[in-house]
Formats: sequence, structure tokens, C-alpha cells
Amino acid sequence: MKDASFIPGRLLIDLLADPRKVAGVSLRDWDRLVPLARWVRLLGRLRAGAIDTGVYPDLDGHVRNILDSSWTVAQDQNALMAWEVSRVRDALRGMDVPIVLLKGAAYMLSGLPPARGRFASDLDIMVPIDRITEVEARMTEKGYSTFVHDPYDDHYYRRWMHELPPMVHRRRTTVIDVHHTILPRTTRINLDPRKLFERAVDIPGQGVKRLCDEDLILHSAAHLFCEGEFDLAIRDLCDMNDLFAHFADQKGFGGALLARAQELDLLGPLFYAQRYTHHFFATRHDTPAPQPSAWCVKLMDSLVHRAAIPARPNESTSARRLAAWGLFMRGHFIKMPLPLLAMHLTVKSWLRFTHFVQRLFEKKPQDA
Amino acid sequence: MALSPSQNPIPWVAAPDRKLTWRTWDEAETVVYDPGSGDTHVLDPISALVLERLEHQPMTRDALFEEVGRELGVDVDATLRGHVDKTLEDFDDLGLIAQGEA
Amino acid sequence: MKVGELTITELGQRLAFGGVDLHVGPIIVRLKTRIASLVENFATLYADYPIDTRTGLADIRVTIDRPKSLRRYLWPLSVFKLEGRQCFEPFALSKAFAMFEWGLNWSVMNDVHWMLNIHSAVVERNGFCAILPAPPGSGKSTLCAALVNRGWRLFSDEMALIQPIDGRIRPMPRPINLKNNAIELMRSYAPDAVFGPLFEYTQKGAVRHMRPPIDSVERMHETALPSWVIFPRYEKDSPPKLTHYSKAQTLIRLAQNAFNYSILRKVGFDTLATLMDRCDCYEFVYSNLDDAVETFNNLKPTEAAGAVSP
Repeated sequence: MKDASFIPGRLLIDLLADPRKVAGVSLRDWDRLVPLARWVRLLGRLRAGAIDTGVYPDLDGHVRNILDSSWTVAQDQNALMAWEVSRVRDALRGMDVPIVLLKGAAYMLSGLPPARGRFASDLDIMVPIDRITEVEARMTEKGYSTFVHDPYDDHYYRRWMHELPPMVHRRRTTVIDVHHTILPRTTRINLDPRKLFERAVDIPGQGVKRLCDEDLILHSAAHLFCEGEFDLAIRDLCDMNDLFAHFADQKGFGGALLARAQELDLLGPLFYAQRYTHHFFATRHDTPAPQPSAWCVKLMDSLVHRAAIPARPNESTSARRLAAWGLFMRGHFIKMPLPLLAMHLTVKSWLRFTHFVQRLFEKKPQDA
Repeated sequence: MALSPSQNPIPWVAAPDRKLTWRTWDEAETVVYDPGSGDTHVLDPISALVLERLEHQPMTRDALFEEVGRELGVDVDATLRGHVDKTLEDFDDLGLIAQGEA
Repeated sequence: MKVGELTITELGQRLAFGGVDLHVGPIIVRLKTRIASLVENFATLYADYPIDTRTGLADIRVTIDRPKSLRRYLWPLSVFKLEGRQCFEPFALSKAFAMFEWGLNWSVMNDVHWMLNIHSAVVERNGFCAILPAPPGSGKSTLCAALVNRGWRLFSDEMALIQPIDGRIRPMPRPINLKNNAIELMRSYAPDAVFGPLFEYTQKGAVRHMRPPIDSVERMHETALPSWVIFPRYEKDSPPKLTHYSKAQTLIRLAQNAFNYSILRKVGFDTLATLMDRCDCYEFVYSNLDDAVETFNNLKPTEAAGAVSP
């Protein structure tokens, strides 16, 4: 079957695997690559790769302008996030509560490789569950508020997800997700967040913490393979690949990672993280996680191989969309007991449907 | 004057972890860029004086009253205190200054 | 090759299949459309613009077409898509060109950040630029249109694009967007200028586009240094009045009017600060266009912008 999206998607993966190849991309290929890379938020990262490998100065001026534009936006988002971290830290000063940064913020303030050119709009932090009410109260006092006004969504966040409804400060725009663990409460994976806090490490000079090295990878893997949000799968795989490469120099890291995955009940996600970073970036893993049942792996392969190849929505094939939907359902399946799953999707679909009907009747096209 | 807890004599310091960029034209108004927040502020001469002193070294609120009074050649009265307090409050809200732990 | 060298049929075919890559100052815009009125208006207003055939890499990819939904049978509509994503509510089909112009501004504002982009008109004379930032309704576009019909070169009536590296301004000449009363005023002020169709009852009232002078289009790659920042304000029956304005306040007003000042962070600040070092800043009140043009013609370029003192 001819699939127009395959070419730029494959090219993008090639370039992420070996950034030196960026120098050899023709302008016409850039023309197809740029909208895609922008869509999956990896344009800034291509620039970072070009800088690191020294090929950036040889790129066409036109290409550099496009990359610079994207980079500028990413840098600003990172700076805003760093600022928000310092604001949250000051807001919670004196409470003696550990603030653990997750994902993009952790990479950035720790200077880890996935941070380069990474777009990260929301700030994810984690605090212990028994302090979360206090934290919310203090943040509210300091000018933060939640902007989820839909009572159903508010309830959903608090009851079933692993976070408070998103908060934002009245003067600023960075959205903060305050988590108390890294997987939803409803997930069937049994993970005790206290273990994450126990081994969290200080980020020097910032007054905040991040997950330990092993947990960084495991969190990213659990996020991708248990939550079923596959839109930015290639970005997440890229992050993990960078982390694998970065920590590979530490003696015994592979073994420690495996032991930790076992302890946290995250061997499955680790297996898939290893499998697909190998599949897409040819990364070698010396201490492979044990394989789940063969049919699981087969199913996962068939879904991930299609869904992880980035494509823009208007370029997606029906096969790709089906694969992505399969992963979404799978994510929901792991996350929630079945009756709840049905309820959530139904309520959501119903709300969406009523919104749709409202829109249909309320909105007249402008200028018509 | 009795000190309320929010007015305790812990010194204020400006932008302890970063460098502000200052520009002045025609000697009248000052513009300052804060690389932390990414905000640009226009300062009147008194605000500029307060921020500049706090960037130079940590100072308590009382020391600032004296300093501003001396620079302007006026007595430290309620008006001046009120103005400086308001300035400190605004700067704190903007994240331009922090208390202690310089 | 210029747009005007193609017959309307050839142009229509290119726009329908693969699109036309258009040089608009420092960027390449790819437009795809099958809407006949848009092709026609585009042919008129962009006649002097060069079509790119060698680069193959566009900065902005715009598609404007009729929607696929059932609504098309109720209202004749056109939909603006940037890189395949719909960005606005649909417009009336007959106003597709007006949507192209607004959508293009929006796209540049959103995606082009290697230059500081300030919402303002820019005109140039003898190698020095005047930046005219102003809120809508201040008569900025009218004044800009008058100046470019009296010997000033059009850089843009919507955005000042400043290169951080050297502070020079990049021209991005486009059709000038005239609104309401300005339309008839300009028709009599510049009877030889070419105008597009009149779009009535848009969000911004009546709108009509004026084709930029050919010299401005042909010199779209010639940058220049800024020498003046002038906030214009039309005031009925007022004599032309030019008053100095504080540089600190000018900087803040420019920052507030810039599309990407905050995104550029310190680079944005440094670029504006250098601009302030280089420019004289004024507020300008006027009512009569000839008087306004004369005031502009009498401006002395600053030494900081490279003027040699007599």
C-alpha cells in the first residue's frame, strides 16, 4: 500500500538516530520534513542534533532560519518552565515538602541530553500524596488556581488520575500538573510512590528533586506504554534513547535498571522501551528485560511499528489511525477497571457529542 | 514601630541567581530586563534606585528607607516608607526580589 | 518568473496542483487553492511577485479551499489551513483573498521567529526606515499608503521584521490593507494605484487592498537601518504635529505591540534597546495626508543609523 506519510516519517527517525545525516537532506526533503517535525515537536531537537554534530553551519540559510525559529520557541518554553520551578519552590518554601520534577523540567534543570531543543509546555511535579491538600492550599494562597471548571473533569482528575487538576498562576501562563505518583490510581500496575520519593535525588542549586536515573527511564516507559498517548511516541522514544545512551557509561547501570524495574513492577514497559529504541534507533541493550508473552509482543509490535512512525493527522493512513486507537484503548485498559473504562469513555463521548451539537447550533460562520 | 511578621528585618536581595540588564535613555526612565521571568520593566527613579541597591547588596527594609531618604535628600517619613514598601511588594510579586538566603 | 507572466489559466492550474511558491521578502509562501475568485485577486495584487522554482522549501504552506463538510451546501465558504490545520472559522467564499492576507499575517506571526516581529508599518527613503507602530484605527495603513505613493518605499503595512544580528529591517511588501473611509480617500489620493475588489461587511468593516508599487516589490531583498519610530494618530482638522517621545516608553510600547518579543527573550530586549539607541522617537498627529508626507520628507536621519552629519 502506498503511504505518503512513510517517507518523511522514516527520514525523521533516521535523522534522530544519526543527526550527522541532517547535512545531506535536500531542500525538497526538508520541505516535507519540516511540517512533520514541527507537528511532533522535534524540530528544535533536529537543530540540537545539527549543532552537536557540528553540521549546523553547513546547512542552507533558509533551513537554519526555520530551525532557529523553532529553537527560539523551545528555549523560551524551557526558560519559562525553569522560572515556574523557581516560583513553585518559593511558594512552597518552609513547608518541608519534597518537590520532585518530572519529565521535561527534570531533564532541563539537570542538564540531561533529552532537554536539548525539547518543547515542553506543561510543568509536571510530584509531591507526596499525604501532603497534596496542603500543597494545593498553599499554591492557591500564592496566586495559583485551577482552570478546570468542568465539574466532571475536576472529579475525574482528583478521583482517578494521578494529579490535581492543572493549575496556573494568575500572572503567568505555564500550566502545572501536580502529581502524587507517576501512574493513575486506577492502573493495574502496583506502584508505591513512596519508593520513588525514597530514591529521588537533589538537583544541585535548585532546591528541588528529580527521580533517580533508573526511575527517569522507567517513568518515561511507563508513561508511553501504559497511558496510551501515542501522539508523540517518537519523541518519548527519543528521550528514552538519549537517557539509555547517557547512563550507559555508568558501571552496572543496566543491571541496576533491571532490578529497579522488577522492584517497581515495571518490567513490561522496560522491555518495550528497550525493544523499540532498538527497533527505531538500533540501540543495543546488554541487560534485556524478560519478554512478556509472545502474543502480547506480537500485538504490540503490530501497533507500535505503525503508530510510532510520525505522521501528521491529514497524512495518517487508516491503518495508522487504527493502530493509534488500539494503543489508546490498551492504555485505558491498563489504567482502569473495565466498568470504569466504559463509564469514562461514555461520559466523555456524551460530553463531546453535546458540545458538538451546541457548536452546530450556536456558531454561525464569520462573514457568511 | 512594632514589626509585623511580614515586616521582619530579613534582608531583601534582587535577582539572586541571575543578572538583570539595565538600559537608561535621557536620564529619566530606566528599563530593566529580567532573564528569569523574561519580563521587561520600566522603572521610575525611586524604583530604579531600590532595585539597583538590592542588586548590589542585600538590605533590610529599614536600611532601604534610610538609603532612599539620603539619596533623595528627604526625611524618612510615612510617605516615603509607604512608597518603598509598595515598591518592595510589587518587586516581590514580580519575582524580582527575594528575602534572605542571598 | 513573475506571477503576472502567467495567464490566469496557467496560474489557476499551478495554484490547484502543487501550489505556487511565492517570494515575499525573506520568506517563501506556498499557496494552494482551487477557488476562482482567489486566483483572480491573487493574479491582480501579486502580479509583480517572483515565483520560486528552485528552492523547493517553503516557510509557510497555506491551503484555501471550500470545506468538505455538509455546510458547504448551506453557505458558500472557504477554509484557511496552515500546514494542513484549520486555524480560523471559515470565511465567505467570495472573501477568500481577504482571508489569505489575514491568514498569512497570522502564519508569519506564529512560525517566523528568527527576526523580531513588531506590529507596525515600515517605510523607507534614502536608505533610512521609519517604523510606524499603532493600534488599528490610528490611520497607520492610510499614512503608509500615502507615503508609498509619494516616493517612500514600502517595507510592510503590518509588520516590522528586525534582524537581531545587525538591527536591519527586512522588507516584506504586501498589498496594503485599507479599511472603510481610507478606501475612497486613497482612490482619489493615488488614482493610478491598482486596487483589488471591495470586500464589504468583514469583521473589520469594508476592506480593499492596494497593490504595492512595483519598485517596492522588486527591491524586496534590500534591507535598511531604522532611523525613526513614529506613533501616528489621525485627528480631524489637526495640523501636523511631531513631538518627541520617551525612549523607555517607546521600547515598552513596541514590546507590547510585538508578536514575538517575549519569545525572543533577551535577544528581543537587546534588539529593541539597539533600536532605541539608533532611532529618534516621536508621536505624530495629523489630518491632511500631504502635510503628513511633507513632515516625513523633512525628517533628518540619525547619525546612529548611519547618517553623515553635515
